[in-house]
Amino acid sequence: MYRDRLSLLSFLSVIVLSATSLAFLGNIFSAGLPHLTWSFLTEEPLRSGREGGIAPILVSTFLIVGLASVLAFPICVASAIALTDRDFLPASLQIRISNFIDLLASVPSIVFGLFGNIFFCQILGLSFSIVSGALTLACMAIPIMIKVAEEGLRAIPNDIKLGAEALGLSKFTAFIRILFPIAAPAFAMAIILGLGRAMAETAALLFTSGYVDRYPESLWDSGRTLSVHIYDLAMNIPGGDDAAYGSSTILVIGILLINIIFSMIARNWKVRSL
Amino acid sequence: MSRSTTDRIFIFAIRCFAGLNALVVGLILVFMAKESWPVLQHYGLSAFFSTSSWNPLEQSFGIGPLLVTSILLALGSLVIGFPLGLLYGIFVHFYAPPKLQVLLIRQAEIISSIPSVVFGLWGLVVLVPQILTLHPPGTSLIAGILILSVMTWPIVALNFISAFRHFPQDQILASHSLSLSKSRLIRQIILPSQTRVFYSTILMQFTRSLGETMAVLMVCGNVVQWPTSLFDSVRPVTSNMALEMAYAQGLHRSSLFVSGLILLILVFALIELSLFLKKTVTNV
Repeated sequence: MYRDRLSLLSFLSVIVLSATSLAFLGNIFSAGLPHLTWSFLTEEPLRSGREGGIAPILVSTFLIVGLASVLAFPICVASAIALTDRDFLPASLQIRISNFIDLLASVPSIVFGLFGNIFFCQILGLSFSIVSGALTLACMAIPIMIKVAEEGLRAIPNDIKLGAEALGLSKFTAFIRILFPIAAPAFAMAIILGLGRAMAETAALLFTSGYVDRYPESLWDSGRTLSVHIYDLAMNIPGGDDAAYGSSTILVIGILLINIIFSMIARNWKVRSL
Repeated sequence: MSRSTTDRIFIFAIRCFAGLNALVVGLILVFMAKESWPVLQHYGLSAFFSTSSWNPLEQSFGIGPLLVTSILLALGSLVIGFPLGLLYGIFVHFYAPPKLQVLLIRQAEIISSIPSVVFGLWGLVVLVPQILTLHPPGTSLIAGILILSVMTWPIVALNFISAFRHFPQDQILASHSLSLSKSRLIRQIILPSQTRVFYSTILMQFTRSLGETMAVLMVCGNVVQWPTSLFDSVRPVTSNMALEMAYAQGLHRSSLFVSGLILLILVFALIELSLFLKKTVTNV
């Protein structure tokens, strides 16, 4: 293993990175796990979040992230179809749309937040609300979702698509009855990936769904997600570190669970594909 | 080919939805430009580059310190995170036994999915006090670079591992038959052929670091100044927008949009560059 410089250097970097990662995860979990009590998960925050729980925040997070995924999914599937089937868009347009998707994927999150504020909150009149936040998050999640969905559709053997056309099936029927069921695991992965991205987002939500930490009364009410809560506790509330660690632990566990589901579906997909 | 009505509607709907992607990009540019217009009309674009201090409340709009900070943070995170990630990927694919491979890949996947606020929290509570013992104030450029490096290396590693997996097996067998050492195989045959992955990963991570807002906001100290040392408190363009937007009015607010627009155009230019390079750079 220490035969030459390259193996030594690569081994050392694994040591350094693993040590940092374990120290990081260890710190988050050791400081946060003590806070994972039932009351933390079911009570409302008191004293700006220093005490009490995060129940309303969990509700808001669920609503914003869920709504964002529901909104993003049709656009993701439609774009994936458009990018893989020449009958919908000519190849040149496919390349251009793909280019735009790459641009969308690279926009800084704060720019998305400001855009969401101007467009969804002001112009569309939604003001600080769950819906504004969800719409903004959908815009951010769509590019990565499209990549996965596109891959799923491309993996379908061409003879299946040609066979459907040879049988005179309409595009619509072919998609709903044949292509969608085959690519369903990929679409499920896309949703989960979008969920993960949405749960991690903070800057965009600061300006679109607001700061309020009580139960949202409707989808048009303001609410804060876990990540915004962590930010507020860490930066604006002296003494909020403990609750911040607790919320971080929950957020990380949530994302890890999503990742585990993701890899289980991915493994099933590999087995099922022909 | 005559299509049924359902199909006509279906095709039309798909085209519309796909076009939404382009529409959103266009809308973002339009609204950023619209909100930037007031101060641009009043003071012109040169006002943002001619002075060296950012003090919008006193009509000083030099984004130099902000932009340079953003670029230094992104460059620094690449300098540290990219080689480490690449070496991690090399170890995982070429030197690690299978069980360890799976563990290391999982570790990279987990770290890559952690939200930036959590990194910011850890940086604020653990990393910054450590840096403080070296050199006050602790919240600094180097803190931002280190946190961004931690966020950068996993994707670099995973990209390269995926690229190594797709490397043609026959070339590897040929090198074995010529009794080349593994180190030579990696350094002189496999790595030079991965120029595409190099460029796309570097550009992608650079733009990602340029766009990062929360983690750097929490650990960099948020003092608007030209970074003269690694331990200076600094503020990048993104954090500046997040912080000042809460209370900015009128021309101040408009100037924040200008800074965002400049960053956005920079990022878009880099993406277009990477797409251009993808077309012209071919694997050996």
